[in-house]
Amino acid sequence: MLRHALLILNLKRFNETMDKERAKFVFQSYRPDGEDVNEPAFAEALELAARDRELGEWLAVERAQDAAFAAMLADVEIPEDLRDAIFGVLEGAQDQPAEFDADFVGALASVRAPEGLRDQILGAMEVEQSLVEMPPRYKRGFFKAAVWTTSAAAVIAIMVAVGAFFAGAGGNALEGTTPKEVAYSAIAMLESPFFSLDLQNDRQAALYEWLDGKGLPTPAQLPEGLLDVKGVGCKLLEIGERKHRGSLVCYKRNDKVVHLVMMDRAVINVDDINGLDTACQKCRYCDKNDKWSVTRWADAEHTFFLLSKMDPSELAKVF
Amino acid sequence: MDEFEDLVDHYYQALYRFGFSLAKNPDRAADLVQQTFVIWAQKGHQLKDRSKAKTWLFTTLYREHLGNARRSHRHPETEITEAEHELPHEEEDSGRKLDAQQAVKLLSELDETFRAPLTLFYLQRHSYKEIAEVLDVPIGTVMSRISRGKDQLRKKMTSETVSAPTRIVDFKPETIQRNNG
Repeated sequence: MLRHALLILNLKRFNETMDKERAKFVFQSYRPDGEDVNEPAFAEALELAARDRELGEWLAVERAQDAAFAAMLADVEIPEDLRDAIFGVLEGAQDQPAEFDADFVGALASVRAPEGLRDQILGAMEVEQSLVEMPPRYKRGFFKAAVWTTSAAAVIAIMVAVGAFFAGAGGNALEGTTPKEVAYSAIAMLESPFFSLDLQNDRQAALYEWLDGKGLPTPAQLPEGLLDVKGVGCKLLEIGERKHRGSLVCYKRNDKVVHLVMMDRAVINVDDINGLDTACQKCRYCDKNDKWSVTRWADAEHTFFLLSKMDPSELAKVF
Repeated sequence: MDEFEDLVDHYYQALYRFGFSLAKNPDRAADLVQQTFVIWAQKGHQLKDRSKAKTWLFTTLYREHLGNARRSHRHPETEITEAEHELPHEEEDSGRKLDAQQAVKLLSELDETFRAPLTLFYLQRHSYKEIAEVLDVPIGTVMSRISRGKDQLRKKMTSETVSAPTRIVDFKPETIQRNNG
């Protein structure tokens, strides 16, 4: 291992002459079919191999072994129906408009049948009472669901309707979470010795793309102080007993890590969270853990929580 | 659909082989390939530089695999030896197929760190620079992992050859001389 580390260091040294060890290391990364022959490092190593008989012989054996293994791997049998299966999936996906697809795939990806759902549905059916009016929070979801025409979507619509029923009736079977619960859970998770990120990448775009792919919230707008900073990583969050799904994105700003938690607005049981422009004034210590400062804001779709181990005044500078 | 078809025809086999070596299971490999193309169907249009499609596809499959591995963390993975019945059936005269199975088995026994770069290397479709891009690691790391992965692989190949059952024949020169004489 040390030898390899030293070789990499050697490779980086400017104007270093090619020696036998370095040439072997370089040759090991070039493809057995010779496609990399025009790479400068390879050409240089080849030149040495032409002069050094032992190296030339080593290269011949190396490439023969590589070619043999590549040929073995190329013989891995491909399932006969795989190609058709791919097109089958794609055709299914293309039957619907792109926008519908994104909504549908995103919605399905985030749907998780709550424990006891079956009993809740049966219970709801027993109540001979129609819904008079749904709270606004659920209306959006309901009407969105109503345009879905597949049976799976219908199941989602039933779930939303059942949720509305329980909410309207003052029950708490499918209730959301509170800003405090989100902040406490996030801090507890971040302080856990077992905490790990699902994806580590310093490119913000890569983090958002990953979250998008999972149907998880991403920010439409960011505080100014986070626009050009490097990312650290991201994670799928599951908050509270109901495991409400959300996103965590961590950014590195002036050697400190700032954490952005994003949840669907509909799952937060508070409607008075204001826009991004108000978040700067709301920076304060977390009332349960004063090592952390927190603030929050919301847009039409999501509620955001910004957390960091710094003073509130320092956190306010992010905005 | 033409672009899809071209893309699928160009890459689905290599993607499957890559997926197989990562997931160690043919069904999961096929799922990874399908999922990769589904994601392409949803997001491929966002890729401005179409020449990057190959890297994009392999990167996506690799990330999907990592995501799956994290999700199934609580459930121990089936080792390749336990999943042998799921491998393509071996026919009597399928010496080459047996080799292919052996190749995948050997790869699957490597540390995950070496398996992905080495498989991409042996698929011969990626330069070390592209492998670095797919796996999101520095070029020097890829070169080092390929080198060390090959060391591991060859050690395993050697030990498999040594431990392969051989037919033992009782050989005594004087017996042969006596029989021939």
